Amino acid sequence: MKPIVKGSIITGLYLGILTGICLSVIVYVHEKTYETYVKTAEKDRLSKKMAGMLPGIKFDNDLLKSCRLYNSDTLSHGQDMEFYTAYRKGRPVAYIIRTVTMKGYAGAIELLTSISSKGEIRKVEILSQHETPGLGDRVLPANSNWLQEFEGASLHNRRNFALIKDGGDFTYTTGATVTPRAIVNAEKDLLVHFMEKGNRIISDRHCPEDD
Amino acid sequence: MIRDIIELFKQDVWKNNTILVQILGLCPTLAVTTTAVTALGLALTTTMVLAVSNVMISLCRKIIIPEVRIPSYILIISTLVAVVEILMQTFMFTVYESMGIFISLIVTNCIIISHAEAYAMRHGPFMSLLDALFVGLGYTSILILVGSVREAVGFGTIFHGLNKLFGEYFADKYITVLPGDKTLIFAILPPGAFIAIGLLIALRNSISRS
Repeated sequence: MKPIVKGSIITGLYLGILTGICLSVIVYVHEKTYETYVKTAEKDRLSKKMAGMLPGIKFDNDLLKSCRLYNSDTLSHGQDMEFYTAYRKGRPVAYIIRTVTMKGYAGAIELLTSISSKGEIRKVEILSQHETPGLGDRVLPANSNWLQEFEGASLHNRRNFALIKDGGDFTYTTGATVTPRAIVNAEKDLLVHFMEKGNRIISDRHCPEDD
Repeated sequence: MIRDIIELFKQDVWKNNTILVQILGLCPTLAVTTTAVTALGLALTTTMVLAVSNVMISLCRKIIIPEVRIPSYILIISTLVAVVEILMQTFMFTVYESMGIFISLIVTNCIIISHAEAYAMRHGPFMSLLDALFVGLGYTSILILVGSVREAVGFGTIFHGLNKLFGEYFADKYITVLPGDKTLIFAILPPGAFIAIGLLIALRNSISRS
């Protein structure tokens, strides 16, 4: 065999082995952490946020057990997403809906919104986002009170349900309009959807049981 | 030995400061310095990745085949960044959340690959570690400086949100320098980053010349 061929084979093998080692390290760390920590942490954050989602609303059922799945092109981008209902004496008084929007600056923004049965937003939380630090992420509760602007908002009491720039009432930081606009539009879509369907939004599909 | 270390320190922190003199790794520098805290977070993460990658490459320098050393560096560095990202997502979720996509972009930071090539391939693990720490020190201080200037002008505060990095105790330990309506959002936008770094480079040049 010519030396140059032999050299290439050795180099190729070497790179292959190195790639194999690197990949196994990543897979190992992911296996060790993801299932045990990331998933439970996600669940913790969700249930912590759920607890504060319905200020001033009295209900008597276990929210996490009322979980149903829904699937919509506009609200969940074709994925199955969770939908919780708060009941009082057997009648639904409020809903908590998880939605996702792709119109942010960097990937999906996952939102959790509670709506009273009259179609009024009670609270909006951001479950996950990858917006630009310092700009898009100004909307996070850690950085500003912006999400509070949604409290009490409905399609009737907000002009156009849009940012001031787009002829509405919601404020924004100059230079960082993409993220607030994405969230405002997602909430508007949700309210429109909700007002059209009303209680029929509740489906029969239960959320998968946790093991 | 000691003299070598002092010389290395001077080189890495001042004479060959990666940002002010070598102008390396500008993309993440310009992007994350919108506030002092995100700048600090990314600088510390980058320093950590740099330290581990320098030590690993220095340890492997005898077995890395010279013809394919660049792909080997990239493999090692991207593995490290992937592992750091997973660990941060697991144990420091708020930091992970506040730094967004910039953690994975550490892979593309040429400071790390340039120090693998120029230093770690030719020196032992201990000196490589020191090199990484000194470079990290120079990098971190410039990033904090740029971040503080931009945050002060753009949002009127410095170190707002320190609790995201170091726990709730720091929630209100920030400095207010300007009232909210006197801020200039320009500083937060990309041109503001170029101007802030340009001024710092000019300042460094005038100091080293005099």
